[in-house]
Amino acid sequence: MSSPTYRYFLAITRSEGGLSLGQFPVDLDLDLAAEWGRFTALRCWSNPELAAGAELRIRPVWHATLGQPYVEGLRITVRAKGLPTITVDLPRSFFKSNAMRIGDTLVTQKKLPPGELFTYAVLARPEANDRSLQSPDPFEVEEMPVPSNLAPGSLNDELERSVAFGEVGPGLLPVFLPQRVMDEVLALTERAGKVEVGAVLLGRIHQDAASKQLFLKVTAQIPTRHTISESSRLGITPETWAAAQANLDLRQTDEQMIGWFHSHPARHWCAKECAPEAKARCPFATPFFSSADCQLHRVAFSQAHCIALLITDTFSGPKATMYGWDRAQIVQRGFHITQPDAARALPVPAAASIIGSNIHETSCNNS
Amino acid sequence: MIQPLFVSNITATDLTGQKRVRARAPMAATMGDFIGGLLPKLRLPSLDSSGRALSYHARVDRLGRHAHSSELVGQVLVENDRISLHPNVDAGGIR
Repeated sequence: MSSPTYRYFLAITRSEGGLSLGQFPVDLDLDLAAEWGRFTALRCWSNPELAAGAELRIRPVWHATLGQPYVEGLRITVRAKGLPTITVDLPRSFFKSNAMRIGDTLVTQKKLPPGELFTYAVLARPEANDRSLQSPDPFEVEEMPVPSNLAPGSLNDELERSVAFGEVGPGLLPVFLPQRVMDEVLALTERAGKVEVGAVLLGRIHQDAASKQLFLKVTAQIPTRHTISESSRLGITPETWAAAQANLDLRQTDEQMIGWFHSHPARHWCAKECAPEAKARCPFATPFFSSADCQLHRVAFSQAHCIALLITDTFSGPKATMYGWDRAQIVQRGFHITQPDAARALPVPAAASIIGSNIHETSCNNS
Repeated sequence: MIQPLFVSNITATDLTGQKRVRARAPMAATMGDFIGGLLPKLRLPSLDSSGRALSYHARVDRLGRHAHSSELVGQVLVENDRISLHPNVDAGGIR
């Protein structure tokens, strides 16, 4: 990424009374923005080599009314010789997770009452980028762009033999998950019972021969091993990833790790013996992608095409939700189930789920 | 015989293999420090959302094992080695 660089700040204001709580510097996860920019370039250019090595800049979008230093988003510009420049904007919501962390800190410091609403403004100031002041890199690390390995395919063929599951948002990469894989993760969830269970998802990015559109096909799931499976925690260890890689190597295919699955044994989280009506209202029945889940997805699967599949085991049956990247943020997204078995009922597609917040740590008031 | 001070041409990837860097590391550096130096160029976070350090282990393809963070680069790696960074990370419903 080229200079000039900017330092970003959030100005926090209490909603009640409008009292300013100060300006706080934030370290933005611009690597996610870069991933999104390169992936957008890949989808537009259909040239994996140039997309992987393209020149990339990220700059603030100044507030249309207030002007500098107020920011209303980020603009990613991607350039490569001989190809049209790609520009994609990230909305102001990109800063929301930073704002929430600052809010949590202010609550801890008793500068903000728990649960009180606040607003935030984003500011950016140019940052001096004097290379002479930077320490030499003792490890001399050089980035090696890895072009995406696109497989041939037909988007129409995939659409014809699949059914949509949940809302497939416009502009998102179409994702196709075989019924077989869905059956396998449901079986894993059922066998795991009271504890969380996981799997690594394998697949490939395909390019439609006619339209050049990209789409993702999940081909298999590898159950995670060497994990710590608890009622509300799935601990993934380095040995888990090594075992998954060994399994992938044995397959001797061009498949890649393109995401992960895990389960939430929600109906086992509550120790109460609830009446059926109360079970139907169980607050744990709403799927949620916790802050820990978001963390794992960021650490392990930050590439823009990567997905996460969640099965929430509720009193009313399993609910399936999928999450992926949209403009550098994790969103719930729909997908397609390939070769569905009409004789078998699919898990319920959840209309909406909670993402990235710990507010789901609620106690149940049902009786 | 003159001993080299560095181990050269180390290829490091993230767990998916889709992010890759090439590096040269001092033999006297620890694997933990080497991993720390690789993270920014691999675009991997070093801290979690609460500001706590994330833990990564380097799996050395040639040895078929993860290196300990306290091992020295010179004890574990040789020129042209390939390593993968594997994180220790939790998913979960309720904390």
